[in-house]
Order: sequence, then structure tokens, then C-alpha cells
Amino acid sequence: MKNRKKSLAEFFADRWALFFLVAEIVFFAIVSRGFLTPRGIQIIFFFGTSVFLLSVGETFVIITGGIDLSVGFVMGFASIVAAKLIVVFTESGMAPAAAILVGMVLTFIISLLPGLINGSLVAFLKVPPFIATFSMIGISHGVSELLIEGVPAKNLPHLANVIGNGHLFYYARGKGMSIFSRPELERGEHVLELLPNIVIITFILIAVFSFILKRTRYGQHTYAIGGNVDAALRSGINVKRHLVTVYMVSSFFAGAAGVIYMLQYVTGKADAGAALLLDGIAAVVIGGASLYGGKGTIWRTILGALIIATLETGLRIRGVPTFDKYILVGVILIGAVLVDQIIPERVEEE
Amino acid sequence: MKKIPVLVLVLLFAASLGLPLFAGGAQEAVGEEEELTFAFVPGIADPFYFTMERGIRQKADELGVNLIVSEYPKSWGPEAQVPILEATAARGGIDLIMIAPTSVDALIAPLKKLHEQGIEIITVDTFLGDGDYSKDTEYSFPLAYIGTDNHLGGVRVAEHLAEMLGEKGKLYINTTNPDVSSVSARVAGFKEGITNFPNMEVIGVDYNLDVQQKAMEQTLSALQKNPDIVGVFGTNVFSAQGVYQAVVNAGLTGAVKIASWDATETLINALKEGQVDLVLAQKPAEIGSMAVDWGYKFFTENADVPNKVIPGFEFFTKENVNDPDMQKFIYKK
Amino acid sequence: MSAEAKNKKPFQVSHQLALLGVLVGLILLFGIIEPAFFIPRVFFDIFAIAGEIGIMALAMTYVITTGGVDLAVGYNLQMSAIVFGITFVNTGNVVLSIIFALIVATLGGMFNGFIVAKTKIPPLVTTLGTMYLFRGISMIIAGTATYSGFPDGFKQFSTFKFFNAIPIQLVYFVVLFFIMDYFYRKGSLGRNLKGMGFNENAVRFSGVKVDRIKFWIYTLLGLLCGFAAMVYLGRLSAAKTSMGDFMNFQVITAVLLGGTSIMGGVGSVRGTFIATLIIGVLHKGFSLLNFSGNIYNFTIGLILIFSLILYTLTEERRKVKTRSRRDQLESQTAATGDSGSGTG
Repeated sequence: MKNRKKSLAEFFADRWALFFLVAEIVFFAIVSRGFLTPRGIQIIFFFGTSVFLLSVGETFVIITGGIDLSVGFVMGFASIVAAKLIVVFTESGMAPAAAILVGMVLTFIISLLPGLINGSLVAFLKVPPFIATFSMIGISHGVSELLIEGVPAKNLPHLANVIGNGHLFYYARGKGMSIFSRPELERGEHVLELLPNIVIITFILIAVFSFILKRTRYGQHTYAIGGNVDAALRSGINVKRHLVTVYMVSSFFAGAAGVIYMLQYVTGKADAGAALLLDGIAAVVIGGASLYGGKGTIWRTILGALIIATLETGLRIRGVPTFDKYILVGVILIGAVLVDQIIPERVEEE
Repeated sequence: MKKIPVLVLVLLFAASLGLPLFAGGAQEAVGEEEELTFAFVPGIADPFYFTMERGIRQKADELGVNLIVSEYPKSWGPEAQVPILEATAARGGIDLIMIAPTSVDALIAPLKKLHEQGIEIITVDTFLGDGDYSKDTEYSFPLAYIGTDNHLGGVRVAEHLAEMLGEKGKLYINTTNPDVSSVSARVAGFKEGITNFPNMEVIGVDYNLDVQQKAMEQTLSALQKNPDIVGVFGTNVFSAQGVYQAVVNAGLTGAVKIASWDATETLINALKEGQVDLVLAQKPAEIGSMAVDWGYKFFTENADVPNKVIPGFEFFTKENVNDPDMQKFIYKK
Repeated sequence: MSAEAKNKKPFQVSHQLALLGVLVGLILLFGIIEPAFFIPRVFFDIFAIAGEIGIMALAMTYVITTGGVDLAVGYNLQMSAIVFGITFVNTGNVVLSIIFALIVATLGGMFNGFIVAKTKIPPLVTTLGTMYLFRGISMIIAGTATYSGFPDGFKQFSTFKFFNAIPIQLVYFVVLFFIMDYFYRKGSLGRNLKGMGFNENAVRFSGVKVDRIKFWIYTLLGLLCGFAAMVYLGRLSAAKTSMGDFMNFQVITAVLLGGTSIMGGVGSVRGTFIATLIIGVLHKGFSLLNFSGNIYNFTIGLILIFSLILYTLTEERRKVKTRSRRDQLESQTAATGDSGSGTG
């Protein structure tokens, strides 16, 4: 940490997202009955997984000064690919567990493809990132629709549903703790469900990539490219290749979000992530990353994603139509960019 | 600096671990109250469910049941509905959930979990699995399915339309989504009904995915390609409205008979103006009030709820649309 | 700059000829596969979409030429349509409803223009935010309600057909095209637009009020979104909150396919005109062949990527040719620091 004096204003500007989140939690705790309960908090994480994943992938791209608008539809594409593959494998006689595992791994690999195309367009053909990824929206949406022909991909093995809606630990009075499997209980008996599987998968992925961004050369190069391309070039970084991989990271995360959607809803749908198209980007920007590149961390992005997820859950538990969310997110997004403009001298320690 | 967000995360996780012990007790306390609390989770924001909500409200007031109406999902699909369902359930103290599942399988797990917590489920309008809750399946837990017999409705629409067209000619269907149980049954019923008329044939089915613009463009193209289409069936509000706009835009008003489903004010006005020729009205208010009624009987009288409750439907035609007795079947906001 | 313009003309002309070739080819192709395509009433349906996408694309050409972009167009149209619907349902006054709708759309455009001109927030981010905002506003006003029952007189606004075949949309589109094309090619406005896209500081230093131009072109785009909303409403006859989905996509594709550079500085309203017709043909053709939206979106995406690649390749070649001239210009205005953003 550098010992630099910071004015009070800077102090707040730096942490406004955090204060905002706390204020949000306090507000909803007061107005929405059932918000500040384990269920309420679990709902924030459980249904926030897609936003967490999309925004973490997006963080990499935004740090390099780019943007990826295609993540929402790549997510839908991945949910369909995963569902189709698993159904095919199951029908060919594979055990459900193996089919799901192989299907997921293959989907992860396939979901690198949109990123490869995006990245190549940006790095080698010098197409501006937003328009390159913008056209990928149409392509991935179109391919998904062609794959399913209007009918959502269905008939997944029951196990997928069990994984997607299951928890790691269950605790029931008198029965003790059990892992993965829900204890056999009388109806209405209280069982404590801890750590949903999909939240665990999500945070393992995020932790791994957080480590990569923060502690490895790969991460350093990512920041370097965003900070100053010329300097990065001069220091011998293969900028083009690196950019391609960054877009692949982003679409990998979109793929992960699609796989998790498939587990959660046992369905593959082309528009699975359509509503999340901008939430991911908003989370990164609210988290304090600069759209000019060079700045941003995963933990701050998570903070931004939490703001959005909390907002949505709070409004829902209150029973308020979440249409309002669109406006609020739009306003917060512009506010975040303005803060970024007003205090450009903020220095990240990373 | 970055430690603070981490701290918040850890605290939130800790809260999600620790608090259940207190919350569990609190929930039970609410459940012990004498008053019943029912929740209604609609499928999408449209006049059909608004009308159903009215029926539910009326009955709930009458019986003194507390009612929670969740947010209306803005699109049709589990990713829109399940978070709303869970958020509504998180308020606690709910005895019965009346829900129109937006997917026959994606809703099984979340609803089953709520069922195991002791909440009763009634599915209205749409159902889980194949809708037969009497067999022993993973989706047999709801108390009942209350909704229109869509297949029968489709058959009746076909019969009425055939009668209007003199039992001959080509027909076209514009529908929403192959995934939705209620709408698929209408299409199947309609096709089956038409097989009884040897001189009639269904030449195509298009899926508009609940987008009115798409319904309009698809129908317009179908009419242009097959100028000998004499009748169209639009299977829900959006489809029917799109179909009738296409017929108007193609300048074929009157030459093509339109049968449609759901008595929204728009469609009823179109019927009055002669743009649409036949409207099947479901009875959403009755579905809603039956759901509350059976739920109430289940809790208070321990009544044996039938697995399937099927209210009837009505047909609006140009002849009876101004009939005072029929006005109550029009959907209103 | 004028030498610059002469230098790229051959590319532009050949590009437009190629587009025309594609247009004719597509028409023939669809006509052969589905003969119904050539029935006049059916064929002229390709202009229905030009009344919506095309009108916005003409103004979008101006915006993209300056190096900007507006992602919010579709939802500005939607917001305006909803305002029309709700005003009409509540007052029954068509004229008042149209005025309100146009005002709202213009204000939406002004809001974009103001932020883009007065702050340094990139147009992409600004309009990404307002895209949310406009969509949110229309959803709050309308919920998921559908407003309909508009009078026949209003519907004539876009369903009227000359000689029972040529849709009125074509007239709007052609008239607007001539106006927009005139100002784009003649006079100082077009020159300044291209200059701004090419090197904004250079234009600014030469005394042009860059911010004011930016403000007004976004405002113009907003107004035309409102106009397109009215045209669209007449055809669809119902205002609802799914109207604006995927519209920005088609509008931007029309502009880029027409040969306007996404990096600004180079463009052509004529190209946009032909490209809009190509999109119209695809839209109607796919719909006739029952491909619905699936392949359409995919194709639009492909066309977008294709035109990007095509453009960057020709751009590279052109840049090499004109580099020396450009260096001269830049040394005059001493805006060397900005060359990075100029080339993207």
C-alpha cells in the first residue's frame, strides 16, 4: 500500500459501491419481510449465479479496455449445447452422472469458440470490441435457435435437476448432517439446506480466475494491455494472442453460466441469458472497473453483481415489479461511469 | 481496501449459515396462526392472469383468507418465474401456493422443495409433467390441477370454425410455443377436430414465441403463400391479435375467418367490428376462485380434493357478443 | 479532406454497385425459391421494414460517421410507441398522442446527445445505459399491457398503399433519404461529420462547434425514432414492450453494411439506403420461406461481421495510401496524442 493522502471525498468515491450495498441491505431488511433471512440471502446467491459468472468473465475483457456484449446469448447457446449433448449421451446408454460430466466438460470447451472468434476479430482484424461482440449476439442467438428449432432442449436426466437444485450440506434435527443427499424426512419437518451446489461451482470458478488475475503473469499482462498497449508491446507481451485468450475467458464464463442454467432449470433455451445481457457489464462498471481499461478487480465486480442481485431479490420479496430494476441499474451504471470520470486519478494497488 | 468486500461476503455467508436456527422457529410460529395464507404466482402479465387474480381475490375475501400475489413475470419461462416463486415463498407463513407453472419439468424441483416444507400446491391453467397427479410420479405432489380442458377446447373450436366455413377449405394455425402444455393441447385438439371433416385440412403451424410482431409476419406470409387459406386459428391472446392484424393488413378481412382463444377486450372489440369471427373464452376468474375454494376446503374441512378440476368455456360469436349474460366472461385488467 | 474524399470514391462506388448486385441477386433467389415473392403486394412488403429500420438507419449513418453509435434506438422507439399508446387510450386524441410520442423520442435523443457532447463518456456506454433506461421507462409505464384499438385514420399512416401495392413507407423512406443524402454529401455538415469521425480535435481546432453537432444529430436520431415508432405502430396496430427488441441490431447492420466505418470518418447514406433494402428483402424472404426469426438473426449477425471484416481490410489498404497526407494534417493541428483513438 502506498501512503498517499486521500481526501474524504475520494475515500467515499472509492467505496461508494460498498456503502450502496450496505444501504441497500438495510433498506430491504426494513421494507421487505423475509429479506434478511437465510432463505432471502440464499436466493440472492442462488439466482445471482449467472450474473456473478458473466460479470467475472466480463471483468477480464473490460480490464483490457474492451467489452463483450455477447455473453448473454453465448450463455443461452451453452445451455442448449449442454442439454443436447447430455440427452444424446444418456440416450446412447451412458450413465446419467457420466453423461452430465462429459456433457459439461464438452460444453466448456465448445463455449470457448465464440470467444475465439470475438478475440480474433478484435486482435487481428482490429474490429472495435463492442461491434465485434455485438455481431456475435446475432450469430450465437441464431445458432442456438437453429439447434433447437423453437423447442427448448428438454428431457434431461433427473440427476441434472437434483444437482442444479441441490445443496452440499443438509442438516435435520435428530438426523445429523448429510452431504449431497437430502435426508428422508416427514413432510413439514425443518431441514437446514446449506450451500447450493451451483453456488459452490460458481465460486470455485471465480476463485480460480481471481487467483489467475491477481497472482499470475497472465493477470499482470491483462492489466498491462489495458493500461498501455504500446508499453505492453514494448515489454514483449504477445498482445494479440493475449487478447484472444481474454475473450475466450469471457465466453468460457458465459458457457459456465449456461451450464448452470441447464442444471437449474433442466432446459436449454436460446434466450436463457437475454435478460442478463447488460447486468454483467453493469456489475463490472459498478464495481469500479474503468471502461478505458487497466482497472478493476474480481472482488469489486462481485460487489457490483451483489448490488444488482440484492436489488432484484429485495424488490421481488417485497412484491414490487422488477421493471424498476432496469431504470435503477441504468442510473447506477451511468453514476458509476461518472464517478470514474470525476476521479480519474484513483490508483489500483494491483 | 479490497478486504472489505471480502468481509461482506464472508458475513453474508455466515449469516446464511447461522440464521436458519432462529428463522426456523419464526416460520413455525407464523404457521400456527389460525388465518390461512394463500399465494398466487401467475405465469406472465396478461389479462388472462389479471382476471384470474380478480377471481382469486374475490373468493379469498369472501372466505377470509390472506392473499399474497407475487410479481407478474414479464416473460414466459422458468428463469423469470422461479426466482419470483422463491422470493415470494421467502416471506414465510404461506399455506398454499396457486401457480401456473411455465415449464412442465423445470418447476418440479422448486415446487417439490416447497411442498416438502409443508406448503400445499395447486397448479392453475398449466401443469407439471403430463398433468396427471393421480399416478405415483415425481410430479404427483400438487393437490390439484385446475384449468380448462385445452384439448377439448381445441376440438370445439375446430367444430365451430368448420361450421362457419361450410366444412371445407384450408386452415392455418398460429401458436406460441411448442413447450407450453396448455397451448400444445389446443393445437392437438384443433387438428383432431378437423380430421372429422374430410374436405378440410390444416396446412401449417407456426410458432411465434409469444411475440405479436412475429405472429403478424408469419400469418401474413402464410396468407400470401397460400391464398386459398379460409380460416386461421390463433391459440392465445398475442397470436390471435397478431393474426387479425395480418389479415387486416393483407386486406382479407371477411374473406378469412379467424378463430381465437381468450376473450380479451381487444379481441372482443375486434369481434364486434367483424375482424375476428369466433372467440373461445376460458373462465380464468372461475379457475382462480375454484383454486381458493378447494384449498380452503382442504385446510378447514380436510376435504378430498380431486386431482383434476375442469371448468368449462364459452364461445363468443358475432351473434352473442352483446348479450348481457356473456359480458362477465370478458377478461379485464 | 477533399483530396481524401476523391481518393476513396472508387471504393465507395464499387461497394455500392456490389451491394446493388447482392440486392438483385437476393431478390431473384427468393423469387425462384418462392414464386409468391414476385406478387406485387408481397414484393413491396420488403419496404414495410424500411419504414422502421431504414428511417432510423439514415440518421444512424450520421451518428456512426462521427465515430459514435446509438444502441438505444430500438428502446427509444418502444418508449415512444408506448407513450403514444397510453396517451391515446386515455385521451382518444390521435394528434395529441403523436405529439407526445414525438416529444418523448426527441427528448430521449437529446439526452443521449447531451451526455455524449458534454461529458467524455463514450457513446457506447452512454447509449448502453440509456438503452436500459428507455426500456425500463416503457416497462414501468406499460407493464406488459398492450395498447391497441387505434383509429383507421392513424393506421393509414403506414398501411396505405399507392396503386394497391406500393406501401407508403417507401415514400417516407425515399423522401428522407434524399434530404439526408443531400446534407451528407453537400455543404459543411457532411464534411464536418466525416472530419469528426476522422479526427475530432482537428475539426474542433478549426473552429467547428463539434459538441453542438453531436448534440443535434443524436436529437435528430431521437426524433426519427419517434417517427419510425408511429410508422411501426400503424402496421402492428398495438404498442407493447417487446417492440424494440433486436432493433438496434438491424439498424446498425444496415449502416455498416452500407459502407460506413464503425470507426467513423467514412460513410455513405446511399450505401445505407441499399443495405436497408437488402435487409428488407431478407426479412420478407425468410418470413415467406418460414425461417421465422432464427436464421434471420443469424444472417444479420453474419452480415455484420462480414461487413466489418470487409471494411477493415479495405480500410487498411486505404490508410497506407493516405498516411502521408494524414500525417501532414496532424502535424498542423498538433493533435498527435490522439492518433491512437483515431485509428481505433
